[in-house]
Amino acid sequence: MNIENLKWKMLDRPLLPIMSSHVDAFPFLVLVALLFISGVALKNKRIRVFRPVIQIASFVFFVFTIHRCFGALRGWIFALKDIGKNDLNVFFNLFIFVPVLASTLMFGRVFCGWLCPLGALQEFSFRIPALKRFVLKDSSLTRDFKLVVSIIIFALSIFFLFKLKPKTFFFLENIASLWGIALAIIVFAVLGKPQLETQMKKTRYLSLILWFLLLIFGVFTTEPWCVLFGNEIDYSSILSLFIVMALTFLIFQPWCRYLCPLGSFLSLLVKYSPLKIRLNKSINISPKRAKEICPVEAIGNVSIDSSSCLYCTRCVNAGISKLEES
Amino acid sequence: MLKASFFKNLISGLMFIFFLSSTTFGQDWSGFQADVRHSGESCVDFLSKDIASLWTFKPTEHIWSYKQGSSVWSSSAAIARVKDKTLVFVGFYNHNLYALDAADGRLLWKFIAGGRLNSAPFFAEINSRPTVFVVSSDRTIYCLDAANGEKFWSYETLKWSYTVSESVASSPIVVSIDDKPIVIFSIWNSDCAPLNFLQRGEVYCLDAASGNKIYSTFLSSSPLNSPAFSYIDGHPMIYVSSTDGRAFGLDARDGKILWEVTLCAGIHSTPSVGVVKNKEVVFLGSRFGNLYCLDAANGAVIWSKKFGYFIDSTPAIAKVNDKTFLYFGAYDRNVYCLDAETGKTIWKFKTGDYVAASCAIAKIKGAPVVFVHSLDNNLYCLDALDGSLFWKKDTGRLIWKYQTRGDTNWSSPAVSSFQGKPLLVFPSYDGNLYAFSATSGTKTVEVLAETSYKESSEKVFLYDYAD
Repeated sequence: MNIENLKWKMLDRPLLPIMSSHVDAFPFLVLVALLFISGVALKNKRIRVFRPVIQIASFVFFVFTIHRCFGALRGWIFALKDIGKNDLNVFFNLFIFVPVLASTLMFGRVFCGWLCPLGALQEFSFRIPALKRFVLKDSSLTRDFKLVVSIIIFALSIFFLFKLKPKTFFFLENIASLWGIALAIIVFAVLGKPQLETQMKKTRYLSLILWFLLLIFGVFTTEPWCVLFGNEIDYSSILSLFIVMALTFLIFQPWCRYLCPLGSFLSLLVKYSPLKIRLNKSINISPKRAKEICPVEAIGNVSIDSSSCLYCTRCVNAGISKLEES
Repeated sequence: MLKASFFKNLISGLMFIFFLSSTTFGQDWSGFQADVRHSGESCVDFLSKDIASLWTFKPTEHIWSYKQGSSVWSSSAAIARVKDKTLVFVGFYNHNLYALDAADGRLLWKFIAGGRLNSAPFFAEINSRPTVFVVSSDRTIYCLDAANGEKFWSYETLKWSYTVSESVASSPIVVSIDDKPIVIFSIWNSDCAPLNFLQRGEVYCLDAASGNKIYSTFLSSSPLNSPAFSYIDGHPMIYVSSTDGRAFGLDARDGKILWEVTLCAGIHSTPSVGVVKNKEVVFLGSRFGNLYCLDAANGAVIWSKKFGYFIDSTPAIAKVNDKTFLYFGAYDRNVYCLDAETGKTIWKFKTGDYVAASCAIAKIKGAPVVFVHSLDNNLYCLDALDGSLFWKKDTGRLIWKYQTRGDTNWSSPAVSSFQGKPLLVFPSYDGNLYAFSATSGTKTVEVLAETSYKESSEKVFLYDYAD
């Protein structure tokens, strides 16, 4: 079996075609339903525990079921270009972006914490107890080992980048892998000097700005998830997915933490959401315990960093914070 | 059953003879992918592997603007004999249609259209007049005298206003139906004026001699790809795919939609028509990476196969040793050869970048070869039997610093002959038109190449490389 012929999508036809076209209303409806269910579940303590079920359902649906690429962030620019010219294309390019945007304004980053398949994929690996212990362990020996591994990942990334890169248009087709390599560098820096964590988290805004500039210039950008959700043999996406998943064994959800352009964009909107997670002032917890509860390290000394918070509600379930609706 | 089959074949045969005896159309490479079936197949034999640059044409004007969704060079050239000369017709992004002498690349005439010439022109002889048709993004089809570029007629599909946008125009084809030459093309127009709002992808059918409209059929609100044509049991059919993921079969006489099928993703691949198990079939690729083989009579999927990435190229069809094969490129960087009957991969050849263009099939010393361009800046010549590389030639870098992926039309090579010599023409994205020919060998063109109007529905039976 050739890699080119691999097909993991169960559907390759639209279930609810719009105007008889390939544009499918079904994933749009499922996404809206899942976002709504997640938003409701977020507020309800009893249903909240089913988050992993929703994550798995979302993962299976978007990776193995529907046949469309989950191009959430890049779609809007193509849509803007076609408004009034090709409305079908406008819908096609906005039908993921707009519900995700709306749900963020209503429920916070519920998409990131509950539905994002790439986030789920990174998080699932954290559910392996031995791996979780390894990721959270902070001894100098473990840190040195992680540093060595991160260097190996970086070296392998560079090797495969040059092995798989196209002969021409180097920058264009390699954006995803360049982002992956940047992530490897960031992880190396954070592992070497943990104090850099706060500064490094800000690189996601640089990532967002660069992403927007590329989109505005008309460059077709890809992400680590494109290969999964589009069933596409895009070497750049494959390489970046490999880098992200390899780095997940060293640090929790590195892509969401440092570079995800969509997550960065949604984190800018989250302040307008009426639903916020706030730290219980009466509870004092150690930094180690805080990291155990919140592996993305959004829990600060006095408050929760809303721009880093993925709305996974681990802290709410642990009783150190609460959901507040303003 | 036997009788029915006999009569069907008889009708097809008669239609074919009728085709040959009626209006004479193009010669070796009339338009996009050679003919109205888009077979991509030429009967030219280069007789030598030593293929070298013959001439290079550089247009003097460049328009330094480029935006997503627009092509920057003609999708392919048309090559035809006009009087005593072989001419190469090619449209450029600078709105010009150039007619060049195939022997030396000398500019014979040019015609300035009102918009980009993204699609390939089509050559045909209409009432013994050499004629070239081209559709421009100014919503207009032009019918020109192939000898001097004078306009015979033009037909504007939508009146200009401040609110209309550039149209997406297909390559036209010219066929003979009921002894009447007609030109068929698809075009997508949009107007965002509130009182005149429209987004229309339509197939037009005009009288090729006068430019009078016979019919137009609305198919989609999205852009359409170029139409292909064939006869099924004596019935003229048009096949069109749309970028909204559909394929259509139309009655060529009145434009009535006979079948419509929704496929997996956007389709930017123009369909080609072949014959598998004595049945007319349509081949096309999709942006999901599927290659489809559809029954041309009803649109039913006979087989489909998933490949790594987008397939925008039009599958070229050739018959080798009594078996029909498909040749196409994909964005997974490979050029593929498939058994047209089963979809089984016979060979693949990896290039250095996306293969967006379509293949041209010819012969070298009697063996079938595939000419194909990859975005790694090379034009490849591959053995059609096993995919081994004969040679590759650098065709220059993109004249812009970067390309926007996906919606650009990438040009494809065309193969024909002049003065008994083979000719390979490729409009490259470095802004030049390259022509190649064999450096050795004398008589290089087979007799079949001299046969006019090879785009009949029976064409795939004409050239069997095993002969």
